[in-house]
Amino acid sequence: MDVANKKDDRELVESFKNGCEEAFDELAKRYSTKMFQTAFGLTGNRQDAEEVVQDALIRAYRSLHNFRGDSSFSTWVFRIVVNLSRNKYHWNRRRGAEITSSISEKIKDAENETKGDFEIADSKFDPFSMLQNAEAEKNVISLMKDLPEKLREVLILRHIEEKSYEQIAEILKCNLGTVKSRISRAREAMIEIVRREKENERGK
Amino acid sequence: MKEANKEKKCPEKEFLSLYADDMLSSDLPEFKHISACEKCKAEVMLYKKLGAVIQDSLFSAVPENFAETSVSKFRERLANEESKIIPFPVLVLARVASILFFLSSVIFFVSSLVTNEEENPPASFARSEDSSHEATTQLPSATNEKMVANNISPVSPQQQVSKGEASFQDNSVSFENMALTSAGASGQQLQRFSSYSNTDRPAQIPKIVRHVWSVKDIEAAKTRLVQIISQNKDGQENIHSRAKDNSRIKFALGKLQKKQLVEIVKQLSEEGFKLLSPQEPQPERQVFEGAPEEPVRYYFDIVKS
Repeated sequence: MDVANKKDDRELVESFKNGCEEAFDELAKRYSTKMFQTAFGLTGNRQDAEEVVQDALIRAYRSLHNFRGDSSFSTWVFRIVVNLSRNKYHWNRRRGAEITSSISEKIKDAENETKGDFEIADSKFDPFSMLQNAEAEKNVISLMKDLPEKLREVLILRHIEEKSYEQIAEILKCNLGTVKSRISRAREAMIEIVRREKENERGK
Repeated sequence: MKEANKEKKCPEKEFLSLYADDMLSSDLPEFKHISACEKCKAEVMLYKKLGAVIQDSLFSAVPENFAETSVSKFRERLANEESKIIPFPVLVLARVASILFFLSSVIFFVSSLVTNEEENPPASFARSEDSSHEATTQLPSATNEKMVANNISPVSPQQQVSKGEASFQDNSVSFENMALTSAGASGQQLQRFSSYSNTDRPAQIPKIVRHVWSVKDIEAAKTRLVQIISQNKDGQENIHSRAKDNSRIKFALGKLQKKQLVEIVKQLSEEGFKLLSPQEPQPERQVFEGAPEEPVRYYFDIVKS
């Protein structure tokens, strides 16, 4: 399926280069949902995510004639989405967008754990039980804002279309080893964040 | 043995993460441990649950019919942006027009400055470089008025001043020399104040001037120096000197006017004193800014060369 899609993508790109506008519309329909999910995960805001998708489509439309095909169209367009999401996120932060908690505090705790040595998860304590209600989607995405940008990116890309580590490395232009390390750290950090949030909720 | 040990000890969390993503090879001892260890399996379960929650959140966040609506919005926006694009030839013409406008404003500004300087030259006093020539032109009346206002005696035509002479009557420097003849032996007339050469451009004399003069014979130089200063300064008051040693004497002159300082510097140079420091006035300078009677303090050393 993946191979067939890739072939279709390549054919559509060629058709667009030959002047077929509908080919680009087809590509846009194919990827816009996933683009939105990626942008939403990275920015944490629906409106920003929609703007990022529109900006990414415009940029892709204008640059597609120069697309050499070194990577797949999907990798190329997600790279655009990640870059635009970063810009949007930083822009919002500069304008004083709310940060729910101290990032360094949380991540420090997660990283201070000795590798290979951890407490057994309390079978009665499910940090994700708080996420089973109507507020779940809002909560996990807003909690993800507390992750450092690089960790957030790998986590989102991993869970959108379950991109392989190799694809993530290609999108983010980093090593495979880096991706593996970041995903592991991102998960640990996220679990810690959720645990703390749960404790805060209990305390109230 | 080593493998057995590895199997007993819980691996690093990165292995758990890879295991959760089915990225860990089943041949590795870490894989075997995780498959059998309750602790590790619980952690892996947490990772998978986290992934599921993130996926659900992201999927449910997508608005209805997003794919269709995003494409139509994209087309609308594209059409709007393209309608705002200016055709290239129009863009080029606009650029050329703006450059021409800028250049003409610069030319207009510069020419207005030049015209302004012609009509209102800076208040300045000057000595002729070669005062053996006759003064052949009279300065414009506006210039003469300014000179009077600055207590400078107006220029009269056909005045001649021999080299080295300076007239200090009525507290006026011999401005009859001022810019009447051009620099150099050619005797050409200086037409406009604004056409200063680099050496004729008005120089600024600061309120405190520090000079160092080099001489061959300090004692003889000191005697001559005092004579020159006395001639220009109405007496020997406010001349302070201090001999550092046989090779250096420090002087300080108070209550000196700029025009007097200019004349002193010129005469010292003509007497063979060599000026080592760059501060104005320099002996060859012709034109200076400011009023001639402005006070200046003059500190200078004479050193043996």
